[in-house]
Amino acid sequence: MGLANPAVFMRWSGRVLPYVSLASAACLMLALWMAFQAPADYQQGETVRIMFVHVPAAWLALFVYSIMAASALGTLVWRHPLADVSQRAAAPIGMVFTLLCLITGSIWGKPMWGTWWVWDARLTSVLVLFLMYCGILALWRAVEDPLKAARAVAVLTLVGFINVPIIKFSVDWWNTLHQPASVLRMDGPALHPAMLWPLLAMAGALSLVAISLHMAAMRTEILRRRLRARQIVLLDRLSRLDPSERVTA
Amino acid sequence: MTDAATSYAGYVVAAYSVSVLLIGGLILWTFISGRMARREILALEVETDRVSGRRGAPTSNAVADSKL
Repeated sequence: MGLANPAVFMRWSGRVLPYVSLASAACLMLALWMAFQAPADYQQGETVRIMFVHVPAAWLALFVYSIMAASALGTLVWRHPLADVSQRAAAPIGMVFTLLCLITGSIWGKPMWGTWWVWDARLTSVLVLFLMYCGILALWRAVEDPLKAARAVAVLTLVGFINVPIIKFSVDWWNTLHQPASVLRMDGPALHPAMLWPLLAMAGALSLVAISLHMAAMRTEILRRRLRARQIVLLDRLSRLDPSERVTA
Repeated sequence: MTDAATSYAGYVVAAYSVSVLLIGGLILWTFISGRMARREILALEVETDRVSGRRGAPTSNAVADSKL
């Protein structure tokens, strides 16, 4: 596969990234406009607009973690050269979307449930996802050898993937304060189209933002690895110089 | 709009402000770290050229990059 080569990925992503970034900015503007054009809910009033950020953030938190799990498989099974680059680039993005989901959910919960937080299955499992992201980022920094770090993080990511179906089905398996799924369900969406379309538009726009950020972060990670490799080459050269030459160098 | 709906507007503003802050911060951080990595690579290239004393001559950077 041609894109397995970091040099090919850098060339390809360098051409595509400006267009994806522009498209995501345009889609985000359109989605925001749609979110504020949508009617207020007859029960929830204006707070229903929080849904247009909260729900896509929750979807992306799970989606980014799924990408990381696929990348972890790529690292452990196929040793794909870009797999751990992708995993490392995705972790901060997933962490931010999970935090956004938690904070906006809390802000939405206060007027609707009368409380900022409850320790029910959905909220707690999303908090566990956030802690998993933090743990993965900490592990990357804690292990000095990049290869060992990539393998340790891949194992942790795959173990943590068990939390993804738990989050999705927590509202069905346990009696929670959080409402059950209203978009991704077998009987079709329970939302009125006036609210469904802005929600889907925002989900599409934020997905494009996440894709462009992931691509940009992967490019940065490849550059950082090149930097490390070049530093080793430079140090090797310096060590081969005669002591007299070393002083002038 | 009812009084209750009016008071809820503060929650909507708070939620969207947090979203702008977090997503904006992530975009800014990604952009800045990319720029920093590019600058460090350029600085190292200058240093490598200085050490090898052969400005413009082929270096082993290509070999180093291919090992990624």
